[in-house]
Amino acid sequence: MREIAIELSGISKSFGPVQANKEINLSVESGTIHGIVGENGAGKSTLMSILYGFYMPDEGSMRVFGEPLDFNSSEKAIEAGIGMVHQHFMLGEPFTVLENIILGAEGGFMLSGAMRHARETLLDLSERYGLTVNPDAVISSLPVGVQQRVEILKALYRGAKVLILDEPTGVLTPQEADALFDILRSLKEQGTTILLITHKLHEIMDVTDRVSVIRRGEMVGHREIAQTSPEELAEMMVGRKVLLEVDKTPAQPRGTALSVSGLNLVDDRGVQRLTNVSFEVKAGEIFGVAGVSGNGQAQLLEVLSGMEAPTSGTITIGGEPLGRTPNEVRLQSMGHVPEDRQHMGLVTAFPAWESGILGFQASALYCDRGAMKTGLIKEEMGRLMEKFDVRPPNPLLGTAKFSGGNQQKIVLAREIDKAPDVLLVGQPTRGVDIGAIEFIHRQIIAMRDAGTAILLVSVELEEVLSLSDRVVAMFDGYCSDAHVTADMDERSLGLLMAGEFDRTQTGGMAA
Amino acid sequence: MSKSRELHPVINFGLVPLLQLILAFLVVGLLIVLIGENPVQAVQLYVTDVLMSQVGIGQSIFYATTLIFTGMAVALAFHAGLFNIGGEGQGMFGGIGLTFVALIFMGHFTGGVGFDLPGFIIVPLLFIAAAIGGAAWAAIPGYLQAYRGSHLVITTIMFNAIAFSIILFLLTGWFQNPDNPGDPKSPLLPEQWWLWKVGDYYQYRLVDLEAKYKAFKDSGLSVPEIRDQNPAFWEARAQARSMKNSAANVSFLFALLVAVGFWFFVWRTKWGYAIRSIGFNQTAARYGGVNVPRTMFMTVCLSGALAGLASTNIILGNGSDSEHVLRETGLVGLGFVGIAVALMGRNHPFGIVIAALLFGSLFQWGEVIQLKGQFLRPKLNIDKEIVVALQGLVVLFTGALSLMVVWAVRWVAENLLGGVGLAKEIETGERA
Repeated sequence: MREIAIELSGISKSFGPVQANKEINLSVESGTIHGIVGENGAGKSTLMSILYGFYMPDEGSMRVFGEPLDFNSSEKAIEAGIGMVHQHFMLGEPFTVLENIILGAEGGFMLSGAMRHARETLLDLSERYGLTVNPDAVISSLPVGVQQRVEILKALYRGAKVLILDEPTGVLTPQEADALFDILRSLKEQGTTILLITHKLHEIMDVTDRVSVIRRGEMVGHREIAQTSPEELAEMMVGRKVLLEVDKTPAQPRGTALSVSGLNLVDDRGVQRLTNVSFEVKAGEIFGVAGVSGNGQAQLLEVLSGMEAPTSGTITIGGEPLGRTPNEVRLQSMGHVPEDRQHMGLVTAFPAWESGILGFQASALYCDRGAMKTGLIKEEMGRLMEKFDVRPPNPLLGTAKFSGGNQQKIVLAREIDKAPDVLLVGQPTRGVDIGAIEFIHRQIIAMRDAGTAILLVSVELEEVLSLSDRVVAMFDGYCSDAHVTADMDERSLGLLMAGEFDRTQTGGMAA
Repeated sequence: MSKSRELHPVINFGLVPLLQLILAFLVVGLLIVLIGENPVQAVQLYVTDVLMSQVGIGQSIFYATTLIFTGMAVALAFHAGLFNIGGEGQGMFGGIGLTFVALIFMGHFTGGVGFDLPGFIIVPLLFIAAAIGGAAWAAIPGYLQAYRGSHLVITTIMFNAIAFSIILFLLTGWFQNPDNPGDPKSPLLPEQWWLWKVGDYYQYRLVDLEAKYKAFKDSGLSVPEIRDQNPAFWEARAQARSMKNSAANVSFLFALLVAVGFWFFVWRTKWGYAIRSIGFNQTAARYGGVNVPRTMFMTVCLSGALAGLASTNIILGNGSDSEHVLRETGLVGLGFVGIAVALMGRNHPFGIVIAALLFGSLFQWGEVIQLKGQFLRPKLNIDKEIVVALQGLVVLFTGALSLMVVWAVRWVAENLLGGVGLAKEIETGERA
């Protein structure tokens, strides 16, 4: 029996009427990788925030390496050897790696001493765990995968013996994610305990030793990885059987609905974001755009939705040239589910009924000579929310108060309900729980079967492979040729995503 | 994961501002003690001569009218995520626009040859001119913010200073009253353009009352005899004499109407939707087809128009017969106070009306302290600028330190009252 690194017993925390955590017990053996899975809103992050001293639980106690620990401060948690790598990095972008590492641990009036000490420690850590980072590189110049290493180093520099990682692979390429898992394994070998919070089951199966499942604030069970399966875990998370495979019939593609040729985009700073991108999307097919986040997909969606004017190239929708503003494009029957619902797809400060008409606020559907038909909009939203299973189906509730999956359903409801001819979909299931993923995938496939041309941008390899009928990959603003998805597997698509395709000729027209 | 904690609306919009106000009063009380005067006496004056006096209430409403406009000017820009602190300068330009049109009709620029049109045509034109004047002065900072990214706070501060120079230039030149050179003010606007004010009613009644008084005197009664034999008449005459200059005027009702319009515009039209969407999230607004720079520009112009309208009350609605003129004092500082009004009114027209009435009464309090303090026994030696300190403190407690009170209230609610119904916390599990 190994030593117990972290032991939580009877942790309860409620926010008003919402019980976020209910009598949670958890014990994590030292020197293991322990996974925590659960749907959005299940209470994973609350639990970790309690561990890290952000929240005070209503009841319960915690021991770290056998010592009782007070809950109320992050400093004490750090002192006890707990380190946290947040989902959104907490790094000063204009600072160097070294400066970030010592931030908050300067330990003295002058910086030079701390810097020297940090440099030595950093080299030592790098060697021991294979965490190679140039200490003098400026954060903003580093790829996300490396930035994440800096976060890990930061925690280790502070003497972390227990490392908590919150959804660490959300921003990484499959290759970067593999590298991260290698690092985690080597940390484990040297005795570090790791708590991995994620909603991706294959990661749990891949890298953890044990896993705990949370559902609606309660711990449903603990499993040895060797003795469980993804299906069992998914069922534990959702509370019912879940279809992990996407169920769809072969596409029945018709004429070209959206055609892009020779598209180039140079942004305000003079950076070439899109280079010679060409492809065609047919009515009745799902056209997947794979790629690691930040390779031009966001810009492609902005150009296609009329938010950004291309530097050169032609785009036609239903044979007509694409409109020049989002409003003109909407009138050409193009729907757009943006990649980032919180920053683009919704105004989170609005009540749901107002967010639910974003983009259509001036259309005659909802607006009469400038005055909004509020009664009608609220009624309509109520109906849509029922239809798309948004929970709770209350149009008066603030948009920010819905969970990620339900926010996404509000966006989808708004865009799909208009029955567009072309639908742009960016990251439809990012940060969305398994139950909602199933629902969203079914909606997209139903749209396709109804004859809509769908352009699907996703960084989730599995999603692109299982949903799309044809697929391209983007790398550094270039777009590969289109391939029939049935002929592709994770490896071959992964190679395309890494830029292993011919970038000299106009891509995307084959297949 | 994000978490939001909410207070019950009654607490949030009722108790919290009240506590913030009381805190500001307490600190001002301390200030008064420090300068060696009696704060109780000062507060007594506020109660007896502002809150409980007809004249005081009338004057408070007069100042509040201006403040409703300047408060809404700040609030409208705020809904677009912008901070327009140029209300004072835009108000001056509202006055300039109004006076310019008025002077054209008066023939000021054409050697006394004007147009004689009825008041019900000219007065609306003057209101429109005031709005256009304010909007025009806001347009330049608005353009610079929307299309060039120059910060509105900086540019509007500078434009306040420029407006002050321009108004002085005009009042010592083109706009100056030729009959009174050396005094920087415009000619008196004709009486038929003045707004109906409460004082007019009492002036009208006073004609009869004074005639009756004269009749009493002619019949050989002494003053005490008149007073003792006809207490009702005596009371009515005294009231009419004190109220004949009461400046509360019809534009208060206009301000209330505009406040209702403000609510409808911001929360019930597509333009208000666009304004609020750029205030919360410009990326989402752009996605939603909102032309962000143009909306910003139009919002700042509209905000300037509201500030410009504030000048109508000062010039056309003035209580003093000789003050229906343009002066270099512009909105007499009420443009700046509009910031406090908007802050305290939480940028909602209902809150703004309430806050404007409050700040209007404080403004009047300052006047009373200054004028009446000398005649009290013992003397109350406080400058009216104490009100500026009070306003500053209100801004401090409702703005910069607003959370202090919120925290205190929440702590009390959670720890002493068990949190029942007062504080509710809602977890919004974006990622749990």
